[in-house]
Amino acid sequence: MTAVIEVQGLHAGRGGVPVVRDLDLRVEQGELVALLGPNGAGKTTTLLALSGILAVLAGRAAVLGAAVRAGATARLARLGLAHVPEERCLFPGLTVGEHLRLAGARSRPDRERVLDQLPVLEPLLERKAGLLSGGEQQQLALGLALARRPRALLVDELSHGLAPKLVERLLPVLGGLAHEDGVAVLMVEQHVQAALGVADRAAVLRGGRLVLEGPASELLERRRDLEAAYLGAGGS
Amino acid sequence: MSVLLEVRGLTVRFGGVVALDGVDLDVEAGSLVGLIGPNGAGKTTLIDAVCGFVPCSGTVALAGAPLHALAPHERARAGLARTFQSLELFDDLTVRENLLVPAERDRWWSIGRDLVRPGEHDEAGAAVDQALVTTGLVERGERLAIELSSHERGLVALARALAGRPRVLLLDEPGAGLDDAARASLGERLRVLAGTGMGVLLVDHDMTLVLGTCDRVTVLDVGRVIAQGQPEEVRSDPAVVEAYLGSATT
Amino acid sequence: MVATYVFVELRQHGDLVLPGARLNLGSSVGFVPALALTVVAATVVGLLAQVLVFGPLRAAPPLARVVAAVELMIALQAAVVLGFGTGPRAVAPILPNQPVHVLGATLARDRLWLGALVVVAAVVLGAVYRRTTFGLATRAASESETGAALLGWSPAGLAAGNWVIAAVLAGLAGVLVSPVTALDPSTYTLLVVPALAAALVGRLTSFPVTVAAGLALGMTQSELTHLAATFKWLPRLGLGDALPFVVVVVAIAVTGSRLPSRSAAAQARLPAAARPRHPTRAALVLVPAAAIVLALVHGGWRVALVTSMTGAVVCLSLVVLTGYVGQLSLAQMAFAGVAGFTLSRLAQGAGVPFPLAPLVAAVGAAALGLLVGIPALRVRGVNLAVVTLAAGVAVEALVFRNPSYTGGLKGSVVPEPRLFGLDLGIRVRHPGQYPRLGFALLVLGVLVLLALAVANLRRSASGRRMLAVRANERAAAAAGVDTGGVKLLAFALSAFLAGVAGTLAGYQQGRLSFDSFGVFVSLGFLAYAYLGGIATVGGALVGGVLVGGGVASTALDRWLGLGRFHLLLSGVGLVAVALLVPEGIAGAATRAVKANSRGRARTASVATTADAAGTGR
Repeated sequence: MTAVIEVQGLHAGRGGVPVVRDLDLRVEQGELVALLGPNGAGKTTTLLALSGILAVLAGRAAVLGAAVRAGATARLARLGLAHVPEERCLFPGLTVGEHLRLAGARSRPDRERVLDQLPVLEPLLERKAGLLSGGEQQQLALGLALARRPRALLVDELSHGLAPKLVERLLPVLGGLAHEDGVAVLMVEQHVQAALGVADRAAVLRGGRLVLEGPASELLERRRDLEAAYLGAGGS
Repeated sequence: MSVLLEVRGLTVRFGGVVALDGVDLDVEAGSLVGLIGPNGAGKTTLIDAVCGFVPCSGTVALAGAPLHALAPHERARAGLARTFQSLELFDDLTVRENLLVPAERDRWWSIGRDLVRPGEHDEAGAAVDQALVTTGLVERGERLAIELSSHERGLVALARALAGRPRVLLLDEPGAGLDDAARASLGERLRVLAGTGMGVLLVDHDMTLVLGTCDRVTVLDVGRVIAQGQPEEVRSDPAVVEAYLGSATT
Repeated sequence: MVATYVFVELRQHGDLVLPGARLNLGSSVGFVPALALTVVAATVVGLLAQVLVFGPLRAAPPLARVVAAVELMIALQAAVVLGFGTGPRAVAPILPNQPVHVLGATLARDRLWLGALVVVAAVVLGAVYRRTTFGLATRAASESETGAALLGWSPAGLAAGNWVIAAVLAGLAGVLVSPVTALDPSTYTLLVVPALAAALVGRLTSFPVTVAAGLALGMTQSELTHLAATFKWLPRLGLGDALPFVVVVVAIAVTGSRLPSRSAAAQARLPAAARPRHPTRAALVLVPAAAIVLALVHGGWRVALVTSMTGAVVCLSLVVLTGYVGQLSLAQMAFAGVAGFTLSRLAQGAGVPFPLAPLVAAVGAAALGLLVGIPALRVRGVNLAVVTLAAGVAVEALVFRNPSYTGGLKGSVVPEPRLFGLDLGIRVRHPGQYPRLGFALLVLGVLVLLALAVANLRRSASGRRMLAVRANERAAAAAGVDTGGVKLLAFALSAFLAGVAGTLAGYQQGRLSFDSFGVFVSLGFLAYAYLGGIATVGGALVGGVLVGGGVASTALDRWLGLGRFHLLLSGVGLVAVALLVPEGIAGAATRAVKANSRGRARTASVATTADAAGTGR
């Protein structure tokens, strides 16, 4: 059986300049994979390329059986791909409730399902997204993805702008999506420790290339290698 | 060492979000100061605020002269040069022309002469030549900026900042997209520049570059300074490790 | 952005009503089927506009989209003129129009109906865009296209839907208004100016505010007409037409900011402004050649060459402003006209001699350019185009149409230029030798001087600062460039050049009338300049060849007998150029020559980089 997200020899980047080089990656149905690495390593670029926002410069990528190419964003989304992007891509002038409607949560049970996971949004349904705090916006961005009942999910820095306590509560939500609903989840995360706590596998990028890959439990024990990948070799 | 750039209590708000919260920072003449922190820490916002691109409260002074009343271009002419994360080159000018823009200090009334007798002034030309030599771009002078590789474009951004003969240089991720060797040579170049008496503030994600070349390092997280000191102190600071990797106990 | 186009379209589809209205009148089709056909026609044109023009231009710079919108408007207007003629048509009343008495005033009932319909339309639209999923998705896409696409809404599909709604609405509005105002192509097209003003007041997002602003604007305009008739010291005409400009300027002064923000998305680039290597050498070859050609041809062809050379000067003014600094002006002919009429006053009225009078006149135009340029300190792109369009309309209405300034239908006399006893005029005592070679050489001399100056500018410090502002305002400011100062300088210089062209036109025509300097003429020149190549001197010269009454249109007329299609062809041609060769005809030609001389391999590598860059966003 082929993986839900399948990447072979991918080169991707902005303006024709590859940031990610020769990347191989697979995410199976029901699997949560963490994509790690220092800033500028190419994690966000990888996700943007997978949802057709950035161009695939070389190599192959397929999501849910459809080949990925720039401009196919809306089509991939309709196939069942959801993406919580780094910039959140919310609509500042629309209310939280309108956001959820747009994402497909039209009926009350649909909405309840999302609000159960993200109760903070409940009292904010009538508020415009532009007036939410950073943390609330981040949860709304996740809420949009949940509302769409995706089959594949890309999450870019869920923890961005969130208090650590909240991250500890929300990361397991992603784990639940993968393990209970069978969604293929690929998440980029800065909080390495927390990410490895919920992920099945992890891949570490540095300078646009894959430098470390393996089961999350195994990487947790190789903290020294991780530190080297982040803070540079020659650590204390 | 005399303090060239003095930042006190710098605070920036975007709507309800506090992007910078009372940041203090000094850049001395001849020193190389690193500024690091996770995404969203406020590093670029700090450069924007110092250069007058975003409204802020707090004070910024260049060699003792307050800057708050000056427009961005006036701050540039006062001796503050910056680069941009996304480089923001003048794509359809040649490399040399890119560098001439900050080097030429004449005002609008030079238009009369320019319509009749175009060309470059000796002084500006000399500054540009020197910047090209410093960055190793002499051979590239007549190429269009957009035709160059990303590595060379990064060097053009640095050279353009130098061509205005600044007293303080603010670099926003000059190492992005460079390979290890290029980063190492960038570090050497920056040390040489600091050696000439310039003050350099280096924002970068690459710890090897920042910790390996800077005299002092400031660490920002969520708009606040969480650590400040020698590179080795910062590297082993538990608050810094936690900001980057998350706490090891969870 | 979607909202911008919703309103920019208004004018085009104001025209589109014409087929429907004609069916209604000509073959006495019933009202309902005619209306249905109108809706169908508007839908088709709206869809075509999105699919053929604005869809492919989605990632193009705002300048290209504005130019495309302007040209689409010109092309449609030209098509209407070809199909239906220019004369105004009376249209039978559609709504009941018996007089009613309200608060002591007598009103025609259809005015009230119209007002009510507009309010109803606003309420319905507001509900559609607030309550329906399509409306939500549209608003979402206008705030973040990527965000909408990530939720499965295709921005192109949404845009097409909105084009259709806008086209149908504008079409219906056109039909309903037609009995009240005279139906003719230029009035209808210009309805867009107050409409855009109202839309800007509503910040292109609020239906109620836009409608309120529109109604208030309309009422104030009628009131001003009344006041102007009552108070003798007010200009008798044009106050109403000038009002939108005031409204727009106030609206943007409140909302604009001096530098674009960090999040402002990077746009695709404008055509490259290649640096001329040896302008003087090129001039030394071209000038004698041009002089010989001028001496060899006679009559109509010489007139065509002179018109082309004057047109090239106008295109040069756009090269400075739009090509070098990236600012958009739809008011170039206002500058030219002010200079032309000032020249007439100075030379005919005050007896100021030849070289001085046109110079002073052009400096006057530069001063006006400074004024019009002030809003450019705070607005950019599409909004700036609207401001300058409104400014052009205001100048035309207040100054050009005012007989006490411009001599009304008789026009203003411009005396023949003389220098040291040398007759440089265009007219001759013996018929048959018109136009005189002396005048043609004078125009050539002026063109050459100005072209060299503009070419020099590109190679100078001032020119580099201009291109820096065009490329990236934030980076320019960081490099010590006073971006506001550079823009004002460019507006002044550009207006000066347009002013010189205006004085040349004055000498050529001998008697200036206001219709030479209308807003449509400005729009046309923007098209020719863009078609030729907006960013280079060579492009301006090609643009000059293309102008109406110039060499290309004369050739079209004499050789192919297609003169009356000139406007339509240039509109269509422009859309094609904007899509296919963004650097214009001159640029494409230069590139072709370079590609041949440099060899294929390098060009190919540049082309792939450019392609990749193009798809990168």
